Amino acid sequence: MMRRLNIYCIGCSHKTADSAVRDILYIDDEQLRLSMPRVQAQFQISEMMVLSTCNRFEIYLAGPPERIDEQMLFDLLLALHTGNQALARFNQNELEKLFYVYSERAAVTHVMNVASGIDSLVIGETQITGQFKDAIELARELETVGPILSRFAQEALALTKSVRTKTAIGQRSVSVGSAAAELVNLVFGDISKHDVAIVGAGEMARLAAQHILKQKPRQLFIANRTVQKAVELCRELGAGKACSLDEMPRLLVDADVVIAATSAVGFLIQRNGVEHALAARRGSPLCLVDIAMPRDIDPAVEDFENVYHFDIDDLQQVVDRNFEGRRQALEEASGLVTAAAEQFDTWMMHQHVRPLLADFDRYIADLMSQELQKTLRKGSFSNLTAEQLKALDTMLRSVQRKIVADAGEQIRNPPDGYFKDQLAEALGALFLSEGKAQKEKNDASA
Amino acid sequence: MYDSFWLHLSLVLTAVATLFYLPALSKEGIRSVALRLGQGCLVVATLALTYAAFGRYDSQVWTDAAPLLLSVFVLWIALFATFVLKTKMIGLFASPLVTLLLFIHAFFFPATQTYLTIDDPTAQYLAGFHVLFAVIGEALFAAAAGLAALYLWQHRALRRKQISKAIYQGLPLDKLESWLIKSLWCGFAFLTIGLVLGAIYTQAYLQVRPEGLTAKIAWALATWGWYLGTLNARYNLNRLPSAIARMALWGFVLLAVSMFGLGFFRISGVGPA
Repeated sequence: MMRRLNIYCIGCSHKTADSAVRDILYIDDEQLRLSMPRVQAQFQISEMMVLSTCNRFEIYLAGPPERIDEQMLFDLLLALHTGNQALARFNQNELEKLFYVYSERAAVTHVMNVASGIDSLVIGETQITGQFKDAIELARELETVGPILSRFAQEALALTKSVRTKTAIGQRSVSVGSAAAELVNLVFGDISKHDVAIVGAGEMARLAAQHILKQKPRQLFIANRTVQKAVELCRELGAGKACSLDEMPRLLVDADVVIAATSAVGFLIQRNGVEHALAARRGSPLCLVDIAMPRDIDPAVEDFENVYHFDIDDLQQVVDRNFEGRRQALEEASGLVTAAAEQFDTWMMHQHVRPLLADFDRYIADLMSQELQKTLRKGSFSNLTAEQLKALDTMLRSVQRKIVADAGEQIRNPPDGYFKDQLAEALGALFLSEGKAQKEKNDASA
Repeated sequence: MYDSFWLHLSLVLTAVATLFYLPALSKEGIRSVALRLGQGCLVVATLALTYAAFGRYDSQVWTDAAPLLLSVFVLWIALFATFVLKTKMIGLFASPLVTLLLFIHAFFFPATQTYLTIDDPTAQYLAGFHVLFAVIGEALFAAAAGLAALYLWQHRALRRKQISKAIYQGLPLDKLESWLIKSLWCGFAFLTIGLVLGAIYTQAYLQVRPEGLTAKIAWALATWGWYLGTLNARYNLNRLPSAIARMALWGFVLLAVSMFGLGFFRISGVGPA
């Protein structure tokens, strides 16, 4: 008989551990390639995958419930981090505070929440979905997952799509980079007709450029004091034209959108520079977005009628409003997660019940065959014709099919007060080899 | 052929040249073609008007011929500046000026001789299309006023950084500006065609212009001039989109109020009508 496999999850995230702990736990793909197959073999786990990001470290398992307990999950976690001295310094109590453990339905729901971005630091962000995809791809490549986790990941990713399309959870930007792009869109709806200049080549500039590039600007300029850094950013983005800050006056004339994100002290874009540029722009509007701290753009540029200037406080307005919108969509998304978890649970049950019913079918067939042989050996039935024998056999097969079908139906749709698991276990215990052998053993010892 | 034909032809061509000289189309190639077409219209209009004006001169009707001779003079200067001095955009000023002079001539100097009878169905078509085009033009100006109000709302919200007040998320400023300019240009084109048809109708069929039309004609020419100014302010004087939106909005409000005023005067018999 096939054993029932359950889903388990052990992990920690931004909700339970600070970034220092998460840094300790992070394992890159190269390390996972070495450790996952080893640990799987060591613990004889049917299926496993690992999601390791800067915000969470989680291990997902599928295995028989009788072999997996909380202690085993912690041992497995430590085995994956063999050689990690920083983690080894944590005692069991500390680990238990940092890590959460989920099993069965709770695990399914949790992982679906993670994959769809509901459990993310920035609710509804999409990066986690990509990371989840990468994690399942790696596990497939290492052959540490089988039908259960593959199907599970597939369901989780389908749910993610559904959450994104059916709810507003991912529709509103909540990062400074995306909020900057959203504000620019209030002035220029279609950036593909406009040139955009990003001033700076640091992290904020990179994020802003990534969001702007999604909208395919006509041309993207990256201006930086050190041109080499701008060149590197352009190479990383696969787009853009690097230039130095000396070209700022020309950029203010050519570009319709300027996003400043340097760490420079003092204003890089000053009022008189903008004034000169406006004279050459023949009345076309200029959108200046300052996401730098300290600020790069002189707020006095707001004196000009045709300049739309936004700074980090304005972007925060957008982020806060959008966060609120996402929170409101959370309830709706949770409903979708519950439905998907239930659907997956049903699939898991079918996976468990199908072999169970096959065994039960074989058991009934054997039983009937034995009883038929016994009956036929009796004198009164010894001279039945071939036709009568065939009719008797057909009748018994029909009874067999009906019993098995009824049992299957009862397990899949249990009567009130019963659970699928209970009925499946009862069927196994009462009639099938292991359960029956155990019962016979108990009877004999009694 | 009777000289009115050449007069009407020159009116049509200067009106068309006025539209071509407004670079409403954003693509550089199309703008350049439009400019050339405008210049072509101006050349033909100059020749036609010269012929028509000298025809009138021969008829010894000096008051009638004076605006025509002035128009001819302006047009020849424009052609000289365009082709000899290479001042290509002179037509931008010359064509609307001559169009306006020809409108004034057509509406305020009744034809000495009509060349089609009133029974001709063309007269009905001319009158019908005159009204239809003028009404469509005014409807487009009304739409432009609505768009201008939306533009100013968004512009104000963004300038004051009241992001939550910039409620029309699907209507960015550049799109609103583009729609505003397009509706102004189309409205202006329809109104111009309407006025040209009205002018031809007046010249062809009305030997005596009803007195009640004076205020209406003045209002129509003022409207035409206002929107011509608005479009030129954007295209050729590079005024800011917000200024254009204000011109479109307040211009429409003033013109609508003055139109109701005209109606009131005509009903009450207080005014010139």
